[in-house]
Amino acid sequence: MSDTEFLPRKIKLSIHTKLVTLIVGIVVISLPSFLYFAVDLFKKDKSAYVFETTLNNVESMGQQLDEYFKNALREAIVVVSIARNNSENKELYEKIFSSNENLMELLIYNANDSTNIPVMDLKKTDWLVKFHQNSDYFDRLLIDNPIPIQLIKEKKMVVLSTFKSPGIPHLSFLAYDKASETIIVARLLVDPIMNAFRSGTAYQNYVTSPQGKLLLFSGMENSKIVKDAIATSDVLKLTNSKQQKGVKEITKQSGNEFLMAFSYLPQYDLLLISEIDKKIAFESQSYLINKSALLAILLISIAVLLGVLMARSLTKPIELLFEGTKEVARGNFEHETSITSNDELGVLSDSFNFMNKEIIRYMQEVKEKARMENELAVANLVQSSFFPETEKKFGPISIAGFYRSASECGGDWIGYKEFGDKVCVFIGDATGHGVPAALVTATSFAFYNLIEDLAKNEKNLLENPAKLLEILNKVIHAVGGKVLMTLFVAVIDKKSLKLTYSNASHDPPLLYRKSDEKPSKQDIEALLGESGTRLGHVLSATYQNTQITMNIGDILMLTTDGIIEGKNPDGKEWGDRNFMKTFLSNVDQPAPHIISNIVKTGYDFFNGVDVGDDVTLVAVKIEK
Amino acid sequence: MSNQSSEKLKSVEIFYDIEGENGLISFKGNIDEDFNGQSIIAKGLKNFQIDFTGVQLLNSCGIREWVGVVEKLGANVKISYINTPQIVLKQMNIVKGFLTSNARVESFSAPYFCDACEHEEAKLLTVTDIKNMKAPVFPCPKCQEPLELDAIEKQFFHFMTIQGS
Repeated sequence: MSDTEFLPRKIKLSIHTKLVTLIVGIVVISLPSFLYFAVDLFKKDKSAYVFETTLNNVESMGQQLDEYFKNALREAIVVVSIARNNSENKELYEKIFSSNENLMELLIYNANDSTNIPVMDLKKTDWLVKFHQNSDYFDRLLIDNPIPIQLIKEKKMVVLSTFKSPGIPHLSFLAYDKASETIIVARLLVDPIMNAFRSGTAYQNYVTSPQGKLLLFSGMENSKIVKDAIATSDVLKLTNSKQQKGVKEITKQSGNEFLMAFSYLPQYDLLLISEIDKKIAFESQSYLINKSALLAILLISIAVLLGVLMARSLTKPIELLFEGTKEVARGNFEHETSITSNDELGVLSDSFNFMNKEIIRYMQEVKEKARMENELAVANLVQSSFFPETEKKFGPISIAGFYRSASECGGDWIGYKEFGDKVCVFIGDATGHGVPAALVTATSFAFYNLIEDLAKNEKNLLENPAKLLEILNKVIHAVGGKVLMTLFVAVIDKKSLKLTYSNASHDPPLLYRKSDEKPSKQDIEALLGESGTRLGHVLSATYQNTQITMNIGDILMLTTDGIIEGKNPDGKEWGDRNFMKTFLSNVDQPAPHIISNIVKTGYDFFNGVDVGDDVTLVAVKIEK
Repeated sequence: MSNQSSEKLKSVEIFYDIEGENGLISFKGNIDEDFNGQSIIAKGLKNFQIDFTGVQLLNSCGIREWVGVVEKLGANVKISYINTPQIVLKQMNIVKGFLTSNARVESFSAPYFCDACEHEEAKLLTVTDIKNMKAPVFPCPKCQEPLELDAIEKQFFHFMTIQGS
């Protein structure tokens, strides 16, 4: 048998493919999604950290610058104070001025003096040599950068970029002391603050005016602005908002992206800017993301590989089971699947193998049952030959019989036969029904067929039904004594109509005596002559004969208990009364009609309910 | 003081109420091929009172088994059947060996029928109720017409001719 004969459906998408697709799909979707969200979260967190660090850097720078200016102002005030209080001690305050490494020049103006001539001017002329400047350097500074006294009075503190390269890199810090109506101009070296600015190499720091004018920046000593340095436009982008400080992402004209943190120092009207290239700022982040991506690819590959292997481990047993079912479909029930896994598929395999064994066992049982049914059918066929024709007429004796077995083989048996002037009538009931009872009926039938031969050797045997019972009793007893049989034998002389009977515990037959009156119960008598034990019960059992005489119109009714004990759907027995009533209503009918009418009435009463026992009746009617 | 017990067989339950050598044995269920009366024999009683009221079915195999029990009990025991149902009484009338010479039916159930109103009922009779093999006649509880034995009297009371005295 080819697969297509019993498997019309083709596998288009195998479970293996589905499983692999599912596993790979889940892995490929879930892991990158997880990675994406994790990286996104990491990026945001890292960005926040970088932004915060950048902002902290600029704020730190602002604090240093503020401290730097305040120190300068404090020292300038000390010098001014000493100069005022000890004007004669010029040596002292010049010494103090000289000791301050950051102060390049200190100018004191009278705030109310419009001549713009300093009342005190301290210079570190030795720095001119150090920075290769001429002696008029300080004078030129004043000429090029006049002191904006009015502006200083308004703003209290002003920082100006008065440095031009070449020169001494410095800032001019101008302050107004209202108490003394004094303007202090301190020119400060930028080196200390520049050193602080340089300490964070990744950051480029600037000090600008809010308008973008660069005041302080790395390389200002040489007027060399680093490549991609901040431009005025960039500063304006930062100050467009009214924020005092913050971090912004700025794309410079070069196209490079920077993170810029800014902090406005209102007391000096200065803007501090700290910038860092985004590539450098997020270098570690990019490194981690790249490593994570590689790890994700590795994990996905491993997961897919494991998924494929796992799918294989699941689908392989299914394939084995599928092959097993095909083998079974081809009729090979001895095929066994060998799945060793300790999971549901392993158990299913065991169940499948067990099912096959059960099918084999069941098939053997069915085969055996079929054989037995066949044998029973044969037995039934054979047994049917044990029964005489349903209607028979022997001179004035008309006999009709009916037999219906409760199963394939019954335990009831009837026989009626003519032996010269004698007519023998038998009715028997073996205990139970089925094959054992049928075997006893077969024994009876065999004996029944030997009666004529036996009668040749034993004179008057046919006039002695008790003797017949005694012989048959021995025969049935020899069968084993397990199955007994009730049997009633009547021998009727066709001429004298004398009826001699003997009973082996069979239900006494009823004799209807023809009456001119309406048939009634009083017209019926039971043949209650001496009854012996059932055939097969006691080996040495003896039986007695009883003789009566029948008359024309008399009817002998022989039955087994099947029809009387049959029940209707309500569970009610048909019973003796109904049986007798039906019998009495048919006594004027010929024997076959009596039987058929009783049977019909009985089965109508049963209304389809299984009687559960063999139904057997014989009517013997004496006719004219 | 009596000793009461019971024994559950496949298709019938046997109840014992024993006092000395006397015992009342009753049944509930079917007496069929699965019946086994060994425990009844083993009681070793002298006087048995058998009550078959609870027997719903007595088939030919069951009769064979019961007759076997009666045979094994032997002739030295006395058996009296009380409240004997019709299905059992019928077999007593038919089967040789069921009702032995040492056994008597004391009381039995008899079918009664009223021809006038078709009322039917079972009446519990004792053997003393039967005179000359004639069943007593009762007034029908419905129509007061005669309520008569619904059986052939000679056949139904046949057991009285074969049982012990």
